[in-house]
Amino acid sequence: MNIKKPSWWLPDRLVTSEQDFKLRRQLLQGLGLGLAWPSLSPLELLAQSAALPKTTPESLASSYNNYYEFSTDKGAVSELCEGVNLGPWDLRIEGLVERPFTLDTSKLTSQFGVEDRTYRFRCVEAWSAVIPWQGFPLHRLISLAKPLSKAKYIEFIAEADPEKMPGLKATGYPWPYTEGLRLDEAAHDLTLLVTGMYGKPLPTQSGSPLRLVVPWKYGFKSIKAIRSIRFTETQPKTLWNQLGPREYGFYANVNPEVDHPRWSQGTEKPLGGWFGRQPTLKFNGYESEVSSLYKGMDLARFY
Amino acid sequence: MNLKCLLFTKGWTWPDFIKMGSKVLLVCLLAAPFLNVLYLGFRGQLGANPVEQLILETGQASLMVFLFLLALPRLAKWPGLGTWLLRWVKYSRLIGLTLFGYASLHIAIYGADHLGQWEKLPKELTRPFVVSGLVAWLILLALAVTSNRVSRRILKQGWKKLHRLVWLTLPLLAVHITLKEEGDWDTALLWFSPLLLLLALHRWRQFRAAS
Repeated sequence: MNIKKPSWWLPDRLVTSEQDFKLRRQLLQGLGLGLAWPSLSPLELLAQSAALPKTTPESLASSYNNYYEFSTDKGAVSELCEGVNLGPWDLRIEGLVERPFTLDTSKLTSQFGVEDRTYRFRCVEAWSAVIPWQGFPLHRLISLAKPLSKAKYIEFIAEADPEKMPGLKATGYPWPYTEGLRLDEAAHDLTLLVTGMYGKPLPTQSGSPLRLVVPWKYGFKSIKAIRSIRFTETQPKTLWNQLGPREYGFYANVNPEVDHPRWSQGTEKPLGGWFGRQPTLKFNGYESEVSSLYKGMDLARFY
Repeated sequence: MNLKCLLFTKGWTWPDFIKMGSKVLLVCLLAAPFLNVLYLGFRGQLGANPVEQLILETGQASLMVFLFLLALPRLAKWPGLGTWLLRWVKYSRLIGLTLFGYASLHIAIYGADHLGQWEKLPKELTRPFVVSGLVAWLILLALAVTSNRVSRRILKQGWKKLHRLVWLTLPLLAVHITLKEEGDWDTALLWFSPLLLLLALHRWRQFRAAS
């Protein structure tokens, strides 16, 4: 039987060969340089050791986390999360909906089912991963919520418990973490509400009990530990956009052509990789699925 | 015959032992960050982004040695610490070259990671984050190259002026730390406040002694 795969599907074999291709190209570039500079050979050896992993190993994805509510040190977050359980709680669905209601996060999988989605993940800090998530498309929750016709955006509000999250007091940020999407972005089939990764429940550092994953946007859009989902008429304020409006736009679509003011977005470092970087893809490789959402928009202006 | 007797018969005195010991201790302190990186590397504890970690570790090592280098002559004037630390002030060149070594490793690892991306270079050279670090390293390069006795003799009065450039790296590095991905002014202040405090105290003591 031949099952048709969706266009965004990441077959493991393809991912590997693509990375081998880039590695080979890198080696060739290194060799070209080697002719001009014979002493380069140790660096070529290093480039050779940069065999890039296909799916990011679970141990790396769950020990390198941006989660400022715990710490600004990506390597320290998982240790701080040990023994800390967030949720389950009643997720609030509110704002411009027919009737606000709550959903028990521990019953989401039985209610909405669970799908395997392996997505590329690209952080605004120019590192990347390939992560097998488990969850369900957000549009299933949207249709259940029955938003009013006035609703144009969705705002996500995260947990902020100073008893459990030591980073809240350490930074003067306007907690809780908030994020937002335009309603059509939120309703896109790629937009996922995630309850698990690598076939296990989400660990605390990855956003348990419930997180968002928007694979064509920088990772900070994929808010962790969601407490409430609010339908709004106007574009919601989001945490990183408030902190640095010039550096972190509301859209935050992955785009190698629009640099961060302080660094290039042209390349990225895959987690677990050593020397060498790989080119960043427009919309993180999901261009054919999502570019129609931004037709006629100046992506350099609406970054 | 034990070791002590053996060494004493060769004409070693207690001051010799102390001198040797203080030098060994200094070399150990300067080498510690490097050994730490090697240890982390061999234990596989550089994390999910090992190159970034290597760049961070060598950058932090540079900063620590830099602060140590600048603080040392001022600390040595402090009553009680002087006799000990004056020995180390004599090794300022070794400390400075170690700093240059760590800074060079830092920049070489960054360069190796971006190898083959020459088309990005002109743009990178307009970024304050890159420029501040690069200019600081170029200053250190000039100081390292002229740190020998011959240069000192040739440059005469100019040598002191040239080596005062080391102070220019302070604001450059503050900018560099602030513009890092998750960097901010607080982090830069945290790194430099002990030195700034020491410099202020030093000035105040000078001022009081003069009046």
